[in-house]
Amino acid sequence: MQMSQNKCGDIVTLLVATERIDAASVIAFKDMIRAAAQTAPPRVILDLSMVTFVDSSGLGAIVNAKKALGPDTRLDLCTLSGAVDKVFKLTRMDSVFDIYPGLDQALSGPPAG
Amino acid sequence: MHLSQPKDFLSVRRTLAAIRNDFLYQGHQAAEFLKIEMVLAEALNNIAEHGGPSVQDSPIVIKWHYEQGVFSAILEDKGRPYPAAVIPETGGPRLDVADTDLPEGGFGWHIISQLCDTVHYQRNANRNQLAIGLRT
Repeated sequence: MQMSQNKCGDIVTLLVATERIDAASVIAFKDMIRAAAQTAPPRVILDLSMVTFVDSSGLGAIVNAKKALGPDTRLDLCTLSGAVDKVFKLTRMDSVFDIYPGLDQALSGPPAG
Repeated sequence: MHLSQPKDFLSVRRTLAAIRNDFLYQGHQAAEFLKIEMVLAEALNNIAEHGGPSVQDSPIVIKWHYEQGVFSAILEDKGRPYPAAVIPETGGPRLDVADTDLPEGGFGWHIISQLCDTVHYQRNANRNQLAIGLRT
């Protein structure tokens, strides 16, 4: 599990540089989120452009990330495709997160309210 | 036909990759495998996670067939019986809750039942048998 972190003003972007967020990689994923949470940024964008597969465990880990980042940090997602997009829609998790088509849109589209 | 040793979730990944390879070698498109992989991942993860110790000693046997857009598979394992609520009737875990109460699990069977046209589970002697069918 690899993740690279960047800051754009107040916004932290996390690029998941691994193809699968699944049962085999959720522990590592959670560890990395925990590390990113330490700076308590007001907003985090999880960039899933390199991720091709998220199973139900991975979905749970992304929900866990939202909780781990706490109520003062907003977690948004960007660039979901294929199976990743499908799993969010099937489980209606696309109603829980703000999901942007790309990182540019996520960075320029401030959270509403 | 595929045998899997699901000692852990990495084995599940290897099994999915092997089935995917067979699928592609048969001349089918990767896009057709998308829903198939989602369903098999959930079913195999479930066996790996809940099957108990006997799953470690004997392989999961997966027989699958794909023709004209219809995928069917039977997964047999010698693990513990599946939990009672195998095929959920509701729309999955509830999301209309406070952020701190959002569910982190329980999606697997919902995903399977949403994507499959047929899901049938039975327990024979000491074996679980899960039969699934879906159109890609």
